[in-house]
Amino acid sequence: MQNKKRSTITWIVAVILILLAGYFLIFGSNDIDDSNNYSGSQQEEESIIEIDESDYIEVEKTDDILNEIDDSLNYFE
Amino acid sequence: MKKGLFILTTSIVISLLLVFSVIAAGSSTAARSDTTNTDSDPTTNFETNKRVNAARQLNKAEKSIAREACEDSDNRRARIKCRLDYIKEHKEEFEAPYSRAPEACRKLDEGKKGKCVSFYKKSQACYEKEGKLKNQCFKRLANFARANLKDEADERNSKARDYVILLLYDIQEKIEHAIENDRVNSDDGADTIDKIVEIKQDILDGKKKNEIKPKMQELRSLLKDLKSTIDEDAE
Repeated sequence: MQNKKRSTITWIVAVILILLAGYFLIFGSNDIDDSNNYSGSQQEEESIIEIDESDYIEVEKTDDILNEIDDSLNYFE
Repeated sequence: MKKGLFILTTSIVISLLLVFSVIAAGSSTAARSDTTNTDSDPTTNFETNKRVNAARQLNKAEKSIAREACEDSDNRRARIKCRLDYIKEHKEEFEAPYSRAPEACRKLDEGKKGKCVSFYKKSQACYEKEGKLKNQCFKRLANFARANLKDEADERNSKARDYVILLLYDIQEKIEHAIENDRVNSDDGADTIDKIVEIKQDILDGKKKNEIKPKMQELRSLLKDLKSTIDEDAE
């Protein structure tokens, strides 16, 4: 009886471990896919995550886009 | 012992089924997000879906021929005009043939062309965003480590070039959208997009700002009469 109980617990633990492995397999691979979307270095990725969304600018109107392009052109070598 | 083995086998099979069902669900979502077709109706039955899909396939084949025809011309402006006419007629985005690189990438050598095509493909996700999120997406794609170009410590030249290309694509998208909604005619659109492509090619070719700035002035002139119309979506 004791053996049977121990054996059942072992199987339950095994199932939980397999489910956990599956979970990390899925969400772990998604993280890799996301990081592949951008070609920046890992250091850059980490630092950019710290930047608040409000630090970015809204550039929707054509005039705003053209002005942003003109500003950026000054950094061309 | 046999009972234990049975429980173990059953547990593993159930666990694997659960894991693979989650993976399958995830991958089907990814496939859906890749397609621009949003008119699927989950309430229709299987037979109806089959008929609709068959009609759509035929339609797709015809549309594919129309899109390929735009590649017949050796003139870039004519190709652009052809695509804009397609957008105007079919009221949908122009899905480029798989074998064709975007116009701005075509004259680059093979190595650069691959990077250019890949950059273009990655950028598509940014145009589905709006406002600050879109700007953030552009800057991430251009490898910005900060929110502003002036705060970047290194590689400002290449980051600025990538960022400007994305901004130019943004104007192009706005023009195409206005054409799709009959707010801009395809001739004006073709002139402007042709200039945008020319500037993008110069940027990708590594041309200096002194060569690019006069072309930006020309683009401003072309956009002078169009901008109020193409900005209607942003208001």
